[in-house]
Formats: sequence, C-alpha cells, structure tokens
Amino acid sequence: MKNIFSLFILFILAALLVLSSCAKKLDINPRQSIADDVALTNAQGINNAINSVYAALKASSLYGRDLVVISEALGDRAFSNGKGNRFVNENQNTVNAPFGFWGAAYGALNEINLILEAIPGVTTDAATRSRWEGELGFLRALLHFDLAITYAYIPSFTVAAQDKGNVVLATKGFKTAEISINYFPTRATHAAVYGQIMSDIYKAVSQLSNSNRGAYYASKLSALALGSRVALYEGNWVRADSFATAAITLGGIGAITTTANHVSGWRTALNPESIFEVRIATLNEVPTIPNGLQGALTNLVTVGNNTTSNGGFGPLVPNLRLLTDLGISFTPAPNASTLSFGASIPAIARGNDVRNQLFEIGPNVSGRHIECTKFMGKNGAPGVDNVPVLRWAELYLNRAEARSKLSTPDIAGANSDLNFIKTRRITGFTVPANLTGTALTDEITLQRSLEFAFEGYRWFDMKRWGLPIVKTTPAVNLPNTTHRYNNQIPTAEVDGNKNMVQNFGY
Amino acid sequence: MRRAILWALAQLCLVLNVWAQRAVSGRITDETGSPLANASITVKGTNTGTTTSAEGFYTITVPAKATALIFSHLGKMSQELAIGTKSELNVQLKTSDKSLDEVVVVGYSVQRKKDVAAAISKIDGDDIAKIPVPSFAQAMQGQAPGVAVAATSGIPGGAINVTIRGVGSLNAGNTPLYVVDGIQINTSLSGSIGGSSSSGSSDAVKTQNNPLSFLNPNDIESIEILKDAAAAAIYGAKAAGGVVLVTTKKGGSGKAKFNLHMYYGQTKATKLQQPLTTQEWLQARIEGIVNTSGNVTTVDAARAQALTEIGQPGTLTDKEIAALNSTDWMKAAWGTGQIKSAEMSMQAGTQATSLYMSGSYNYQTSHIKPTNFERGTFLIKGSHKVSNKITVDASINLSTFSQKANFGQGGGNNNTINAAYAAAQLLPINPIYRPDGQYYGLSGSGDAWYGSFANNPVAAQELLKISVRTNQLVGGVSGTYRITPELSVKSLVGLDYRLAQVKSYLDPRLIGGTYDAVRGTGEVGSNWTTNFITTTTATYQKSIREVHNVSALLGIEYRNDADQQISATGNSFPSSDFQYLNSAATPVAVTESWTGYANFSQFARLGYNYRSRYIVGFTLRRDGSSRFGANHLYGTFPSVQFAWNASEESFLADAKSISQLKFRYSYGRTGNDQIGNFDSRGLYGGGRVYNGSSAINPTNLGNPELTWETRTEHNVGLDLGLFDNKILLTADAYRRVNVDLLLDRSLLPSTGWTNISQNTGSLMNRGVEIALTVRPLSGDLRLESSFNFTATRNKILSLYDGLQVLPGDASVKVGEWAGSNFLARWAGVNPATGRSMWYDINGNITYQPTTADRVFVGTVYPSYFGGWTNTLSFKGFELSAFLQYEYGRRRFDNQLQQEARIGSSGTNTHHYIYDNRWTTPGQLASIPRPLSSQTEQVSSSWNAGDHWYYKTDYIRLKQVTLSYNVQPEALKRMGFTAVRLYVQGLNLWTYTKFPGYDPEYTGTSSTIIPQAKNMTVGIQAGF
Repeated sequence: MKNIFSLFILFILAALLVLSSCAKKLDINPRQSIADDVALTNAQGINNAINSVYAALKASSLYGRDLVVISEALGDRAFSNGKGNRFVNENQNTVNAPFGFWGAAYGALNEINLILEAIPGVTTDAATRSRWEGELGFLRALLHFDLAITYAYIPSFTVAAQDKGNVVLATKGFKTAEISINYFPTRATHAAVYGQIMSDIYKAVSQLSNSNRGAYYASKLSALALGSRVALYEGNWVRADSFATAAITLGGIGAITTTANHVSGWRTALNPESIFEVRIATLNEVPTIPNGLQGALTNLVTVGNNTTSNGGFGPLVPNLRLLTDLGISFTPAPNASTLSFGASIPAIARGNDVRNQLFEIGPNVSGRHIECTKFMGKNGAPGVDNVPVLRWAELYLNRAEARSKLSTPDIAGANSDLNFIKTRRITGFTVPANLTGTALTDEITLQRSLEFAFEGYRWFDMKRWGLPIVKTTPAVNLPNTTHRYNNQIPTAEVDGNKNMVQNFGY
Repeated sequence: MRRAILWALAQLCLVLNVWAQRAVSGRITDETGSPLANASITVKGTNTGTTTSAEGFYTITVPAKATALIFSHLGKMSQELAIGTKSELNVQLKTSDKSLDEVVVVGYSVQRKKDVAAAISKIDGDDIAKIPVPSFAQAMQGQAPGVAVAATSGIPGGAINVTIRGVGSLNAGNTPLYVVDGIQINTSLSGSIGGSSSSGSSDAVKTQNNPLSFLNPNDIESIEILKDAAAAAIYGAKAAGGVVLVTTKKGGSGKAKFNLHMYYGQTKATKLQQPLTTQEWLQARIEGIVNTSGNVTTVDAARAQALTEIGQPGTLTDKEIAALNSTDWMKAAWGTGQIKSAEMSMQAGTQATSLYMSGSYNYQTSHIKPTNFERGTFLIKGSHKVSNKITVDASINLSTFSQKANFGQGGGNNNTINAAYAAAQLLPINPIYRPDGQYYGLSGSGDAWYGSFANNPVAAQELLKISVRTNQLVGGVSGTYRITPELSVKSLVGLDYRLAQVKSYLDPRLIGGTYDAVRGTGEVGSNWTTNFITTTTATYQKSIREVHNVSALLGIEYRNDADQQISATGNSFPSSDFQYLNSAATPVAVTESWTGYANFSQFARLGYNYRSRYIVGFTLRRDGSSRFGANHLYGTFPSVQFAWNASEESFLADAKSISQLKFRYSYGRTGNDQIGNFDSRGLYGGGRVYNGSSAINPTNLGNPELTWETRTEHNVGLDLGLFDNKILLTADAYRRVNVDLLLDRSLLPSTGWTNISQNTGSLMNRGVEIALTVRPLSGDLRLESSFNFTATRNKILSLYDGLQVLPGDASVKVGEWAGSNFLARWAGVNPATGRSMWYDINGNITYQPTTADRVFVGTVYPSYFGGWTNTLSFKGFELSAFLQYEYGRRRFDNQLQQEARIGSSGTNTHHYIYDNRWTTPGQLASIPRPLSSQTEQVSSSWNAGDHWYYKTDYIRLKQVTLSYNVQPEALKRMGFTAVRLYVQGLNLWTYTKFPGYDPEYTGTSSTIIPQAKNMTVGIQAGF
C-alpha cells in the first residue's frame, strides 16, 4: 500500500512539474504582426503607417473604382448597357447606398489620427516631422471632403427641410476597445466640417514644400489645388479663386497638357497633368478585370484593337449627350435604347476636340458600344491604372467658375481661364468674344463635363449646382430635391448610435 | 510469549495456504463453440486473474478458500461459476445484450452504458461503413438525434457542417471537437489557400478540403457523441460545440482475420435544371424590352432588337427563329461520375500483442467534371503487453488524398466560368463547339459570345486545372502502467500533421483578366498544420463487493497547434503548354502566414454507483488558452450527473415487461474558445503596399478583457426498454444557455473599426430528442425500425448595454432566433401591372420598402430534423432503408436568384421562372414581368426583401441497401468466414418543394456542386 502511495505522490509531483513548464507555453505570440504599442515608436514605423493611408485610397470603394465609376453611373453623362448586369440600378438612381466607402474612409482617418498622436513621441528632425504632419493633414482633408460631399449636402446647394447636417468629424484615434465602445458621435455642422477640412489644408500648405515626393504623394501644390476645390464646393468663390491662383503660380508638379499631348498623357503611367494621383502599380493591387476600373468602363485590351475582349463587361459607356458634346457621330446610329451597334463597326466622324479621342468602339461582346479609354492598364498589366485625383485642368476650370460667380464677377478672368483650357483641347481653336451670364455658366458646365468625363466629377457637380437628374437612356427624371443626392449612411452607423441621424428619405 | 504463539500460528497459516493452493484450468468458448481469446478469469473477491490463450485455454492457481471464478469477455455476458472441488471448468459465454452491458467511451475512459448519466449517442462502426462517403462525418447524418449534419455541397470529400444541439454561439464557432483515439483533430479548413492572385477578389477559392477525410470510415469501431454539457465538460473549453469521439478498430487475437470490401458505383445529379431554349429566351427578352420601354417599343421592334443582340439579322422569320441554335449547356457541363473503392484490413494477435492493419483506396468523381476525390489510407495499430502491469500502444494513420476542383466551386463567387453557375445562365444561342470540333469562343478565335457569360464553361472544365493534395498523418504512442488492478496511469503523445498543397492554372486559352489578358495565371500554395497533444491520466476503479462502485480519473493535457501557409502567384506564360511557375514571366504575389495557439488543461472525474442503481458523477476541468487576455487565461468547467436505474430495483425486478428503465439528470458547463488566435491583442500588420513601398496598418483592436464563452446546460433523460428490449426508447430534453457570448460586437464604422470580439450577451437553446427502436419481428424474418427525432429552437436572451438589437445586424434581436432572416416581406406580383410588391411594416403594399419595413421571416436553422432506418431481413437477405428529414429552414439561394433574371439581354433563365412569369394584365402570377434589368422604375431593387428566400424542407431517401449474406456452409468450404453482397442507392428520392438545385447546402448555394445520386454495388468478405 505504501508503495502505491509513494507512486501516487510521484505522479502528482510529475504533474505539477509539467504544469509549471506548460503555463509558460501558453505564451504564444503572433509572428506576422506586431503589438500596437510598439508599432509607431520610431520613424520607420511612422513612414510605413503613412504609406498605409495612401494605400487605403486604392480601395475599390474609394479611388480604386467607385469614386470614378459609381459617380459616373449616377450622373447624367453615362449609360449602363446592362452587360454583367452592372451599374444598372445606379444608373437608374434607384440604389440607397451606391457608395460604400464610409467605413473605409473612417478606417483611414483613424490611421491618420493614430499616427498624428504618435508623432510627438518619435525622435526625428523638424523637416521630416513637418512633412509627416503636412501629408497627413492633406489626406485627412481629402477623406473628410469625400465623405462630406457623398453623405451630406454640399453647402452650395442644400434643401433646408431635408438637411440633416454633415458627416462625423474624425480627429482622434481609437486605441482601445473601451474608447471605441463608448463613442456615440453626432453629425457635425457643415461649417464645422468645412472648417476642419480647411484648417487641415492650411496646415498642409504651410508644412509641405514642393521639393518633396512628387504627384504620388501629398504636396504643397496638391493641398492648394484641393483647397480650391473645397472652397468651390463650399461656395467660397474668393477663396476658390485665390487658392487656384496660388497653385497655378506655385506649380512644380505636372503641367497642363495641350492638344499635342493630352491624349497621349492618358497612355502613360503618370498623367503629365496630375497634381495628385493615387498610384496603383501592380496587378496584385487591383481586382480582376471585371471587378475593377478598366473592366467597368471598357472591354478593350489595348487601344485601337477592337477584335479581342479583356473579359470585363464594359458596362458603363458614354450616353448620346456626352458623345454629341464631344463631337462624335456615327453612321449608322446606335440602337436608341441600348446604344449598341450590334456586331458591326459603324463609321465614326469626330470633331476637333481631342478629348473625343479617348472614346472608341469596343469589341463585340453582345454587341459593340463606344467605350472610354482613360483607364487601359497603363502600368503594364490589365486593369492596373493610377487614378488622377487632382489635375491641372481643374485649377483653371475651378477658377473660371469661381471668377464668374464672385460678387463682382471677373468676366475677363473667367473667359481667359476657359479659353486657356479650350485652346489646349480643341485643334484650331480661335478665341471668341467674352461670354457672359448663362452663356458663360453653360460653357463652364460643358467644359467640366467634357474635361472630366468618366473621371467621377459630374455627379458631384450636378449635386452642388442643384440640377435635376434627367436622363433619356435610361429614362430618369428626378427633381433636385431628390433624396438620392445624399447617399444612405450605413445602417451600422445609425443602428448603434442614438445620436446619429440618417439622411432624409432612408 | 503471546507474541510468539501468534507468530507461529501465522506461519502455520501461510504454510497451509501454500499447500492449499491448486490449479484450475479449462476452455472458454462462445455460443457457437469457437474459442474466445483474451477472455479474463478472476478469482472472486481477489485481484488474482489471468486471460485465455488464442485457443481459449486458461490455467489459474486459486487459493483454497476461493469459492468461485468470474469469466468475462468484451461483448459477452460475464459468468460466475462455483469452483467446488473441480479442477476443470469449461465455459460458454453468451453474447451480451448490447443495450445492457454495452460500453460507452466517455472521454479519457469508458463506462458501461448502464452507468452513464449524461446524454451520449453512440453510432456503431457498421452503420458508418454502410454509407459509401469519404468522410465519416457525412455518414453520421440522421443517425443520432440532436446531431445535425449538413454537407456544404456535393463535392466528394467536401466540407461538412456538424452542429450538435443547435448553435450555441453567435459569432464564435459551433464546430464540435473531434477526438480520434484520444488525439484531438485540428478541423480548421485549409482548402482555400491562396486568394492572393488578385487582392480584393475571391476568384482563387479553390476546393473544399475536409480535415476529417483522412480517416477511412471502415476503420471506425464506434463513434460516441457527447451531446450535453455534462458529458462534454471533461473536454472543457473545447467542448461547447459538443464532442465527437471516434474509436478505431483494434487488433484481434489468435488467427489472423482478413476483411475485404470493394464497391463500385456511379453518381448523377439529383436533379438537372432546365434553362430556356433560344426560342424561349427570345420570347422572354422581347417581353423584357417591351416592358422596359413602358410599352413604347413595339413587339416587332423588340424582336428585331433581341435578335440583333444575339448576332442575328433582325428580320428573321418565325421559321428561321425556330431553327436557331439552342445549346443545352446544363446537359453538356453536367454528367455522371463514378465511385470506386477497395480496402482490406487484418486483425491478428498473440496473447501479448495485437495488431490491426488496414489499407484503402477510394476514388470518386463528381457529376460535374473535373471535381473528384482520390484517397489512399494506411492504418496500423499495435498493442503489446510488456508485462501484467505495462501495456504499450501505438498507432499511425497515413493518408493522402487529392481533389481536383471546378473553378469557383467553393461557392460565394459568381464566376462566369464555373460550370454549375454558368451552365444555367449562359445564353443558349452560343454553341459549345465550332464546326471543326474545337471549343467555341476561345481566346483569339474571333468567335463572338452573346450575353454576359462570355466564356466557354465546358472548355474551362477541361482547361482550368485546380487541385489540392493533402497528406495527413495522425498517430500516437501511449503507455499504460497498471500500478494495481485498481489504479493505472496512462500517458499519450499524439500528433495530427497535415500538409495541403494547392496548385492552380488558369489557362490563357480562355478569355479574361486572369486568362488570356495576362497570358495565364499560375498559383501554388502550401498549408501545413502541426497539432501536437500530450495527455497523462491516472484512473482508479474499485468495486466493493459489487455494491459500491467507485471510479476516479485525474489528468493533465497540453495541446499546441500551429498553422503555416505560403503561396506564390505568377502570370505571363509562354503558352498553355507551360503550366509551372518557372515559366511565368511576371511574379504577381507571394504570401506567407503563421498562426497558432496552445492549451493547457487539468481535469478530474469522480464516479460512484450503488449496485448500478443510483449513479452519481462529477467532473471538473481547468483550461488555459493562449487566445485570451492575460487576465483571463484560465477557465473552470464543472459538471454533475445523476441517474436512477429503476429497473435494478427489486420492486421492478419482477416486472417482465420492463427490461430497462433509467432516469437521468445532468448539469454541466463547457467553454467556447473558437475565435481567432490573437483576437485579444492590439496589432499592427503588414501586407499593404503603396508605390512599391510596404506599409503597416492597425489590424486588430486590443481587448485584454476577452475571455471564455460559457455554456451551461441542464439535461433530463429517460432510457426505457420494454419486452426484452424489443422496444427501446431514449428521450432527452435540454435547456442550455450560452453566456458571455464571444460576440463580434459592431463598432460604429466612424471609429475606423468594424468590430471587436467581446464577451457579451446570452443565447438559449432548448430541445427534445427522441430515439425509438422497435423490433417487432425476430426469428427468420426480422424487422428493426429506428426512428429519431429532434426538435430544437434557440432564442437570443440578451445583448450588451441593454440593447434589443445588435447594431449593424438588425436580424440579431433579443427574443428572436439566432440565424433569423430579417427582411421586408415580398407581397407578390401586382396582377394589373406585373410589378413586384412588398409589404410595409403596417401590412400595406409598397414598391419601395425601407429598412423600417423589415420583419422576421424564418431562420436558416432547422426546427425539426432526424432520420428513420428500417431493416428487414430474411435468412441471408437484408433490405434497409434510411430516410432523413429536415424542416423549418428558410434560406437564400443566390444561384436561383441569379437564374431568376428574366428578360435581360445577358443571361438565361430557369424554366420555373419562365413558366410562372407575368405576361398579361389580370394574370395571377408568382414571378414578376420580364424586364431588361428586372428592377422597375421608382421601385426597390428586384431582389429586395424575402422574395428569393426559400423553404428548404425535405424528406430524402438517403440510403437504401439490399444485401445478401452468403450462407455459412457454402462459405466454409471456400475458406471464407463471411461474404456479403450488396447493392445500394444514395439520395435516390427526395421530397421537396424547393425549386433550386438541391435543398442540402449551406451558404448561398451559388457555384456549388449540388448533392449527387449514387448507385453502388459492393462485396464484403471475411476470411
């Protein structure tokens, strides 16, 4: 019996021994991630983390596709031909939430705020610190601005009875579960949001120089250019004018293209006119063709070769209004309701506007359509295109519009800016007499729609100008009071937050 | 002096004793006279004992005062014989009535079924072996009440969802713990390796890889399912989803016994869908154009347009239209598959050593090419008795299986090249082959595709190559030291190692972004999991005069699981002749990942019963897991069990009709740790890239308070046997509450985070399970009928912060089912206009339902399910039929919804949709009018609400088998011990109103391979 007892003791001792050694073995750490409290403690960490914010802009829901394609589908210059059943509902303006970048944008904003809070604790030189804060300021302004114009009324046109305020301001980082759980923000006022955006832009202008990192990164020039856009949307014509002028004077990154190089500029990786461009360099960074930017706009593999298809759908094509404005006509004309040419290739007549060369007949995939070729896999692989966010033409068109709307309109200045652009886009353009009144406004409107066709501008222009949504293909006729102008705020944001108000109509 | 006398007396006694010892010998046989090896013989009231030789002989030395010997053997009724003056005792042991003396594996030890107080279901290996499927989990379907088994698709060897007693957890996993011969199996899937070929897309979903496929189902001796928390609590924090204990066959003794099993069969789709012909499609399209234009476009103009869209002159006459090509892509893409299997096993042994060996080869092809499953397994188990005290056991199971896959068959991705998805939607005007016999519409052919599906799925079945090969090793070594007859210590070291290798080649002859546009894409990936476990247990068992029976178990366990993965993708191949990555000109992506966790546990079990009449049990387990926050590493999980065997009471001993009557009650607590390995940590991860530079971003928000989800469960049960167990009933009722749910708590998106894992909320499950077996006929003509039935429901009891609805997912609401569908109700088709209508929250018709109009419309979990087996045998013939049923699910079928697009230019339509569409005002139709894009102007999207959610109730003849056991006389002459011939059908008949492919699926069913119909013939022979 004693023998058994001692064996038993031995067993328990052995068990205790194993126990103590195993407790340590529960200490298992991830190998492909690092703890959040050490990630941003040195300059390398900050640099890597800032890169991530730029990378976030590549998301399909942001500049990777939707801010370009969905905006066009909603606007009145594009038509969804139904291929792949894509963008049909967006094109009919029947979708509650055509844009879905709320989460992605706030994710990037949180990253920005976490980095900004970590920078004071990192040892580095003043110039680097200033650049970090300047770039982050620009990015924070850009993301807030994109949220604001999508999810809330743009101050230059609001319907007071339906105005539920602007978006949530994100100026603090969320480090712990506890803080995040107990966060119930309200929608900020338009003034607060645009105030924050402008304050970030001013900071970026003062902290950035143009000697830094080119068009793929934020610069003083990009901050000024963004400032002119923000001011224009806000209806602050003086500021829009002065920011555009400051940017044009500063220069340094890119330059306006001319009739000679405008079209070829869209065939190079970096558009020579870009002030800020989201860089998408490799195939690994984009969805496969049908889900990406190129596949949404065209079936062409290469420019001028309409015999093979890239396997996308090419569902979103220009409508007849845009084609007419661009000076493109066909014999025979396409089917009136499908804009399809069937299997045959029509004869095309083109006007003098070089911008129409960015549209051509696509391959026969359930019939042919005329397709936009601004995004053709310029970086050497299908679907891999940088996305220009700010380019030189916008500075002039912003300024022209601002000058025409100043309390004392600068008619000469506005015309000079307009003609500056038209000279560089229309072969053999002769400067006409100065336009005034609605003729001037109409020309500015027209030039914006031609210049930025299929770049995602039109929808937001319609919204800030308070235009009704009128299309013939498909038949859409909505007044400018339609709630469709404001994207539905994600239910996840509204459901869990008693302080949050959904947009009107949802 | 007194002392000296006592000493002398004692000495004398000793001498007398020695003198009085004598030998008894004899032979133990079964009812038929065959010798029983390894039967045990013990002297009553002592620990003295021996076992029989291979020929059944024994010799034992017994002390003079010994009165009787007890003879016992596994599966036989023990017998006690008085010794008297005899020196030879020959015994015939009768086969025990299984239901009485059956032994049940309860986790780390066994118990007599009689003494079990918790809810445990047992499935015999024979019942598993009867169903020719690669994974034993699938063979469990319908066999045990409370165990819902659902194949995610009909992929041979594909993933199986096993849910024991409903879902207890909202976001953490509900997967049961699988333990094979004491080794816990890593059930994380590794079939979707890769996905890196193009970020942001799920095109690279490969095939489903079921980690349970490693085991040849025919090697299984029995499966025990620990259903209630009390039974499972011995596995603590791993056991909230229940525990499935698999015991494989053991070595025999004596002469080697061989068993051969071969079968061959064919598989076919249970149901083929009928897409429209070109002519029908044109009709629908014309209606679509006219309707979309608001009746502005005339039928003639629409007809011309529709014809143009498919590349025909708009002027074709009716006769010419009737002659247009109409391809049945469905028929071309779907075919028959075959099943081949051969396996052989051997059981042999000597008195000290026993051996089990088996090898098997299994090959199945799906009815949709090229999906298949090919497996070879090899199992060897040995046991050696080093001495009376020490036994060493070792086993090794080697298994290799490979699966070829159809592109995108993993589901989820609406891929236009997937045979299951595309065949139903590709426009029938497109031919499969060109006139010269080559595939139509390959890259560079210049062939025009009409419709959205611009690729040849039949060519893709041949050209796209996707395969996964898995090599798995599950093995263990254990030593048992029997310190005394009552006390023994056992140590087990086990390993479950798996290497899965994926290779895919997207052929440049096909059209598209990953095919010709990039001149082909190749991907290889490897995933290996190393799952190490070691367990040491001490068991103590003591019976005091067979009145007081005590048992105790004490153990410790350590498990360490690591999962590592690499993959590489490249494109730009010289031509389709080159399919290895070394020829790829452009490297696209490389990835590597690692994850792992460890568990450390201590556990104990105490049991006591009084004459097997009053039974008490108690277990306790303390678990530590690396997954949780530093403050909450450990959790404690107790259980208690009580049972009263009324039939053992003297007042019922005479009740002839009642052969068995037991009442059970148990209460237990288990834990759930099925969350991500590092969910409690605040983390920054890499992987993002901008302008060629790497980036880091926050990937996880830390929550150091994260801890176990706990499940508590009360179970009451009744076991009743009537008329010599001709009627057997087992009934259980349970109520179980999971608290501290590991919930993905939504954060406001404006925080920049989407959710965190948090312990919050509670969920209740309750249910009734009944298993009834009746044997009305015995004798030459025998009939046995087993019916099982499960009724279950769950209810969300609470969420966090007093919320009634989970933010971000309004379908999770206090008082409602987990897994509810929360949608606006579809109100049918307006007979006047053919438009879809919905109900608003007040029950009024609306065309634009809002989020406020959503109501609860059914749940994705079944309320009732079960199975019914009938076996009729006469002489050597046996006919068995197994029906399986499920009721109460309502689910979304994306495949069917996609096929419901009617009137559009791009896709073909399901005939059911066509037949039921609205065409004329006043018509009562169930399908709205055809439209180019299905969605009406000023209306919600055509697929809004619950219109495309279907009831998937079904009754299915899962298995029917006719077999013949060749009579023994004929066999003996040929040297066989048993020969069984059978023919078997699987899924031959199904009753369902579900219009889609098949009601047995999980997820949204798009692109999956539906269940198949099998017919097999087989032979089993023993010699």
